[in-house]
Amino acid sequence: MSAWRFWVTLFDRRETASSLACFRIAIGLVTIYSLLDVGLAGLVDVLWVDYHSGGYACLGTGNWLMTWLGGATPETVHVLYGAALGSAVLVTLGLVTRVSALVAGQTYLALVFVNGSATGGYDQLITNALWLLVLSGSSRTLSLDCLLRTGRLRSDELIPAWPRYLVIFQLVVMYTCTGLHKLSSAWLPLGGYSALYDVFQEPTWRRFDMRWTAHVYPLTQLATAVTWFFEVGAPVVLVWFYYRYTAERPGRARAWFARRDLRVPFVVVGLALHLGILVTLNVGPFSWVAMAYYLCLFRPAELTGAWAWTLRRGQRWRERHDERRIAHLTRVST
Amino acid sequence: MRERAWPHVRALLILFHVGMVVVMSLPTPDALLGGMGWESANVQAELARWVEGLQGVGVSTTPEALGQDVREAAESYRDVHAGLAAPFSAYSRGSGARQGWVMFAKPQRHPAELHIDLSDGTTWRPIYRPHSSAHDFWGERFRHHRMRKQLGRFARTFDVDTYDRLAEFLAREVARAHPDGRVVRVQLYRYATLRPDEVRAGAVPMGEYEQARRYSVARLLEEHAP
Repeated sequence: MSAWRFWVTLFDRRETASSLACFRIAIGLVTIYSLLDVGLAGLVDVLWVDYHSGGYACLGTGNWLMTWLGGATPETVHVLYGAALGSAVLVTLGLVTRVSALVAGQTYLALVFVNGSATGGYDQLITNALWLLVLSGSSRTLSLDCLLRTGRLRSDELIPAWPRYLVIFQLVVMYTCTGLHKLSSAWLPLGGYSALYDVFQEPTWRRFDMRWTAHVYPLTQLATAVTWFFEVGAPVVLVWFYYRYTAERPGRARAWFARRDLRVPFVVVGLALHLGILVTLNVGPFSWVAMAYYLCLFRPAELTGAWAWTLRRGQRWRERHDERRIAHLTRVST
Repeated sequence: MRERAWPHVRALLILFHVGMVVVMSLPTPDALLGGMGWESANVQAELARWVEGLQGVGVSTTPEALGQDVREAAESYRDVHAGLAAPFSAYSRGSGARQGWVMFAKPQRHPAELHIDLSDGTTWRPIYRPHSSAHDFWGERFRHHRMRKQLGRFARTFDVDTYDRLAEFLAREVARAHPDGRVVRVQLYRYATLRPDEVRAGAVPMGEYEQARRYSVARLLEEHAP
């Protein structure tokens, strides 16, 4: 099979929409959180309104949408904020989903990137995700669109799988590039893997006093090395997907990969990394949005299976709890 | 015909998207030049460590020469990057699928904390100190990750215009909250973070104040914000 034929066939695949629907809901919630977090802190005007209209920074006129609406004035910023928040709610609910995702993406983009000094990688992950949702059929299930169309919240209608592949690709590129950018000696043996300890010592990002990490310095060195290798090693996940897709072909490497599900260690290390960040550092919604991307690592059938397994476990737990309660009441009454 | 062509067109468009993600994720020359903060204590210390490492493998250079080499390489790379990015930049900007993943690339070992004090004419009292529950003016706002980002930038790539505007903005907020005060002082407290053995020995980082700005409370209250 020629490379081009392989490429065309890969993006011809179809699947049910569960994975992308879960991704859509998670991204919608993260977008709402990111916006509300600024609003509730009373920082909307401080961060996104130009100096000449009451903010602290000279922001210029912003992107095309901000310019078209009249620049970074309080009125424009409030309109964009309301539109971004409203459309993010619609994305979460899955109502007029592609249009909502487009509006959410463009308004969020106009708003947060007007002040480049107060943005982060999480903003890019959010706008990237919203664009991929514009391109996907994520509202074919678990959405109000689905309810209006079929009378049910869930549907097994098939949609193109390629937007999910692009989500995975974006996640891998994000990790790989952030790893490759870490050229500071602190991330390498040259600097004694001191990076995470250094991050914990300075006041910018830490949530609380982290001087205690000096007493567990070797652990911070280990965590630094694991983080760096996890990030620069992320493309191995793409290799695993490729080998799985071409499983019928021969080759020892392919056979080795076929025997292992590399997503499991990837997700375990990734979740540990992001939960560690959540606990110790305040980097906004970064961990939440990155973990939302993880949902697309799994095929719809896998996610549905995991959900069914969770429900069964919950049911069994409730039954056991009821049995224990009845036994207890019987003992008490006798 | 249309049904047969569409998979190829779609594959081509996806290829374009994938190309955009890869190309726009490459380090930008501006990040290596202006955005690097070459004069900052952090980068100077970083260069010194790299020189030490390179000398360990037999490469003889100095921090100045190494910094110059990297800057020259970034300048030569500028045209290459511009050529690669040109076909994709409009799509990346318009769609919102922006790239650029520099996160914790150079951990800051010479932080600059923002300190705010208020004078009643005779003595100064602290109004804001990072991570201090006792001096927590604007606490929730300063604790917000977007403000942290802005304040963290002053340690890396100090932009005097932004600093001056933010200092005045904050001084006005302090003046409104404490109209009985006389002078507001906004400044940066810069220090080197301590090594693990120093922290274990109970040492406290000692630094110096820089970029002090003073504002009269009366004048701030008289003036209208710009």
